[in-house]
Amino acid sequence: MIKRNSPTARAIAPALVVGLLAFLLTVDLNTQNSASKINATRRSELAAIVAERQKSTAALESRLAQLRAQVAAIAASAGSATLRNLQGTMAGIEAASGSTAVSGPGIVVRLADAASTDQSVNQQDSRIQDVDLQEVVNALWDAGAEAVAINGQRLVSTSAIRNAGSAVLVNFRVLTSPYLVDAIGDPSAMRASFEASTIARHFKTWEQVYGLGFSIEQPSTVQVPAYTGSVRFRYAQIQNAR
Amino acid sequence: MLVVLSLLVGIGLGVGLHPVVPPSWAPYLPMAVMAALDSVFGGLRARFEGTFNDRVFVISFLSNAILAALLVWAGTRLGVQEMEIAVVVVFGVRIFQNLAAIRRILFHA
Repeated sequence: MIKRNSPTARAIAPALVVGLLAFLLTVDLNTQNSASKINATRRSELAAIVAERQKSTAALESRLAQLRAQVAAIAASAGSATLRNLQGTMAGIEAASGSTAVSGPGIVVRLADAASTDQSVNQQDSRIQDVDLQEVVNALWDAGAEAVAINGQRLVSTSAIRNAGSAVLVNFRVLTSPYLVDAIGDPSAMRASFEASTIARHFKTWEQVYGLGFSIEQPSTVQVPAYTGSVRFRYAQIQNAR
Repeated sequence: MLVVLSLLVGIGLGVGLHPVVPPSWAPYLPMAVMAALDSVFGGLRARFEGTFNDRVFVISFLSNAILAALLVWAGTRLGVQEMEIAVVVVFGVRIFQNLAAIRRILFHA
């Protein structure tokens, strides 16, 4: 047994400690290395999954459009008077529910994130948030809009506008700045009413303070595409069907 | 001689066995390494200044490393954000001071 104060112990103990340091250092290097590797592989895996899902969604959507066109063609070829009558009613209902593309006079509200990423400004303040879009859309409905779409996503009765990270989701689609809110309705009346709304006045201030993009355009025709998502209700049932 | 041998054995073990710390421990190991590095440079400095004491060296090495890791662990438990910064600043400054002292002795500059 080696005594605590023996010359051997005095030589060995510090050496062991230095060896321990070398060991700890290499273990730490290993650990940091593998950790960054795991993160990188995980990220690329997730990205691949997202890309794949987006592709399959696009494929399903084009199939849905095909089938809908088929249904329309079959319905059109069957030519009884009652059927045509019903089709007229259906066209009106479809336009109102958002399942057909519509166009007409209207306005386009353009919202954009601040161009400069000034570090002194809160990141949330320099970005368009879900609530901004919600309030703009509400103001447009209030101003008499008949059909509204954000970046080509038609708003229907089940549409949600919400944040997902730094992007905004509408109808479960990721949208990014700039956001174009198309609204069909009486252009001059809608524009006047919208410009007088609280959110429009806020945006005029925010444009100055945070550099957010905000403009209202009035093209001759506004195109609002059809809602492309599922419209089948699984739980809600029609009451007192007459 | 013995020190260099031990150093090489330590590196050899770390590279050869390729041990990895579990992810939940991963934040605390770098803290212990910082403290350990400081102790070793402190020991080297003391050696050059002629005040080296093996007991102080061994005890300060172990206690600094363990305390640094424990402190960060306790800090995260208590909700102190970024406790690592305290360890990094304190031991970082000390490592620089030790290195500066060693440089002064070795190069007289």
